[in-house]
Amino acid sequence: MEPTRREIVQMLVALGVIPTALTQPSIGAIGAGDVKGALAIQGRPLADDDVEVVRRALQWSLDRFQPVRDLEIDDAVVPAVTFVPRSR
Amino acid sequence: MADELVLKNARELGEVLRRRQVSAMEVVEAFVARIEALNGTLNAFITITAEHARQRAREVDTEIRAGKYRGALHGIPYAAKDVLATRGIRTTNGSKVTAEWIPDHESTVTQRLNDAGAVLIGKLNLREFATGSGVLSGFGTVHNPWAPGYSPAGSSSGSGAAVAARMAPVTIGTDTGGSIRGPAAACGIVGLKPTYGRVSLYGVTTLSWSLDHAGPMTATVDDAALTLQVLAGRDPKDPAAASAPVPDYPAALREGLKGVRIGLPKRHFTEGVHPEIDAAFRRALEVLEMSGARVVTVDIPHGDLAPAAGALIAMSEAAAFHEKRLRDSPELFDPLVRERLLTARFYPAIDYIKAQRLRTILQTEVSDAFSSCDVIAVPAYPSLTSRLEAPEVARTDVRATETKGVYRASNSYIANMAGIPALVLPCGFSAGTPALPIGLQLYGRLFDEPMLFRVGHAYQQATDWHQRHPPIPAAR
Repeated sequence: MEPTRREIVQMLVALGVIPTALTQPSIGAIGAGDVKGALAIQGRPLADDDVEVVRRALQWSLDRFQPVRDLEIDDAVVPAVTFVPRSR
Repeated sequence: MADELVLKNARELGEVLRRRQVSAMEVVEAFVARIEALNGTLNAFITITAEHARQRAREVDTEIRAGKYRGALHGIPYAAKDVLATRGIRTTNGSKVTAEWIPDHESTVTQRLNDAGAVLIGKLNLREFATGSGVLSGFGTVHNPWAPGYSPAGSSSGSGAAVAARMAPVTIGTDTGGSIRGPAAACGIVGLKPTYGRVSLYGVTTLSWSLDHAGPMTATVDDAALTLQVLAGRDPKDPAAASAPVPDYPAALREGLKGVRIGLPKRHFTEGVHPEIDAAFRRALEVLEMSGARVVTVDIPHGDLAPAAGALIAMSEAAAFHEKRLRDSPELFDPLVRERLLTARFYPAIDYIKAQRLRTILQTEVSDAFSSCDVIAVPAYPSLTSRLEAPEVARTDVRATETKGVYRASNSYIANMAGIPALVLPCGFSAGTPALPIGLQLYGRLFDEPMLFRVGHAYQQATDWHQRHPPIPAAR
């Protein structure tokens, strides 16, 4: 089986060919304005203290999720949860 | 006499009850006394249903005297994580938000245990709504019976601590990303997360519709098999409950390990493991080999992504489930739970779907791995349980010192993501003081709980970790 792009990157990091930092997301950090903008879309207010709580935790969560975002998935792969029609 | 009774496992208690060597009332009184003696130290129980249990014990004794013996759990005390609805009995979800909720319905799990003659002796503490750290949860944190002041893990913290401290021979936990198996490992007991849909979730407060499971926590694999026998089966009240036939689980215990293939993942699951855990895990594999099994190498290439994707799915679904409660009374939530639920409102839908597509990939990879083995063995937890966090630390997931990289909380999420059954059992203790339990985790094929029981029971026949009890801590 051919190695995936992710596996090649992991291998190159392990060998020290490319630094770990280069494999990290290149997008900017999430700011309070980003959270407030999203709140406007959601139509739900949030206290300023909570905006800061969300900003920090959202950055942490999405950094953690970044390797999944980086994953290339074949078009044929469907989500595990699908609609099942049934009557009561 | 009472001390002897609480040290018996469910199978042994059932035997002395059936032979009428002891009454159900004596058994209930022994466990109630044990709970009252230790709960001040461990905080494992939120509600002790002593009078309810005495009433039930009188009924059980009448039935058994009349020759109406219902089976192995007849007269056996049990306790349920306080997310399982119990009709007329307060069900708090470990939260101030629902602290006074008295359900008008019974969860299918507790109903089936009651129908089998088991006796509810209480509702167990947990991390609020089955998530969070537990330190700031609505009813306070649970302490590890092996070392009060240390974490029992979670979210089924009380379920793990109660069995380890012999406050109940059988408890029920729930598991969305390891919440049965983490406490089982940390408390040195057996915990089973069954196949998705094997046990009905009707009447169990949701954390994540697509990842939630309920299952038994016991001192022995044998007791877990006895309990699953009662819990398993289709349920018209739960559309996700599976209609697959329920096999004879205890029968699997009679088969040995000759010819059984144990899959050892070649990466991810055995990496970054504490040296003492790694050593205990390797010794456990040797024991299984000496018992007739054969170890083969397997691979789940994307297994390392399961925790990050699973956590995103779980909290996205939890945020949807708790949306109204969070809007109406945010101040009543544990700060960490509140942080997680608020944050999940901002996860893009495309990330949720991608995580669910990864889940399909993981299902395929796990299925492929099982083409060359019968169970997969991994360390239950990569690190030893730690001291309970200080409240200021327990308020948030964000750690200033944390490094970026692939998130690796445990080896548990893969089983929730793939829906496969997973069994944790004790396989040693750490060398230092306090000596902390170490767990072995076995994954099985979908609906192949019998193979897990077969391997787990054979391991317990060859070792005595499950027979050890924590020293009784003094009440505070």
